[in-house]
Amino acid sequence: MAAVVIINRLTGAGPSTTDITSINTRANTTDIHDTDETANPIQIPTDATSKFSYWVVTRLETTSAPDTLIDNIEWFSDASNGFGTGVTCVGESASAYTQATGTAGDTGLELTAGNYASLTSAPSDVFAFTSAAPNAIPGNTTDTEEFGDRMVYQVQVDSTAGPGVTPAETWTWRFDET
Amino acid sequence: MVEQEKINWTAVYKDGKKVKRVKGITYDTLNRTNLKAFEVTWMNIPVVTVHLQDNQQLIWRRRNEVTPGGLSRIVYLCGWRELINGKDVQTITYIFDRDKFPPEVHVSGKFDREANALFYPPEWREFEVPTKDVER
Repeated sequence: MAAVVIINRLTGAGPSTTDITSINTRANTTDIHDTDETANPIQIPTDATSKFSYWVVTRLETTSAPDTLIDNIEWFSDASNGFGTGVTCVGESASAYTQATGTAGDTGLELTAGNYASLTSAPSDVFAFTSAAPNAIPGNTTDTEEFGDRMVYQVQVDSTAGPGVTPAETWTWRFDET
Repeated sequence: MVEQEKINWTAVYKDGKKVKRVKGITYDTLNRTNLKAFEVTWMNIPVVTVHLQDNQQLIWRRRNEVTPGGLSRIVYLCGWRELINGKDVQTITYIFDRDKFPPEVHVSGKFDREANALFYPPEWREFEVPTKDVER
């Protein structure tokens, strides 16, 4: 039988995992998963700096094992930033989990290779990761477990952004199975 | 819940013996000696048969896409790889499982992501790497 693979969001110190395969998750300024939380928005800066969401850590998990192996993992966006003016998103894979932090209701700690030491490289614009040019995610699995590197991303807001909830964006995981 | 797979395969050997993918018989454990053909079925209806020559290495993958929100896409790669005059050559059939019959089938030579974002190589197994160079 084919494996059953879900997408988890990792939060908290543990970390805790939440299956977000069939739902959305918010990137705001608190380290929890929520589909519609608005109490901790990313503030819009009044100067030339940026404010950030808490970084969002996601990872695949098999709840039913493959016949043999899952490998060749990739992650990509739809190539078009639909968040609106002044809102961007950066991301990169990471070999370990680092809990998100920052000032709740204001800004997260910026996602950098310095602040998140196990990032594969410096985070970059996720909209450059496309179906034809995705981000390769190291890792594989033969069993039922969380597997592969995590994909970590962060929404960034500058002073040109408008208030309110942004439109949703969709990220895609891709992998091979035998 | 584990969804029943619509696509399955059967290996066909030179002596006429057939081996179907079942629990315990997988693509990776399949005996490749005297393998003659690889039949792919959709709900037990034949859709693609790959005929193999002695030096052609079978290729099979289930390529999956999954997104938050529950959207998903599945394409099966089925074909062969061989070494001809020192060149690594592939012919791959891409079977798109879109929950309708017949499934949409594409055939391609080299892996070419410019033609289709899904037409890229798998991570090779040792048994998929051709060792004998064929002159043609």
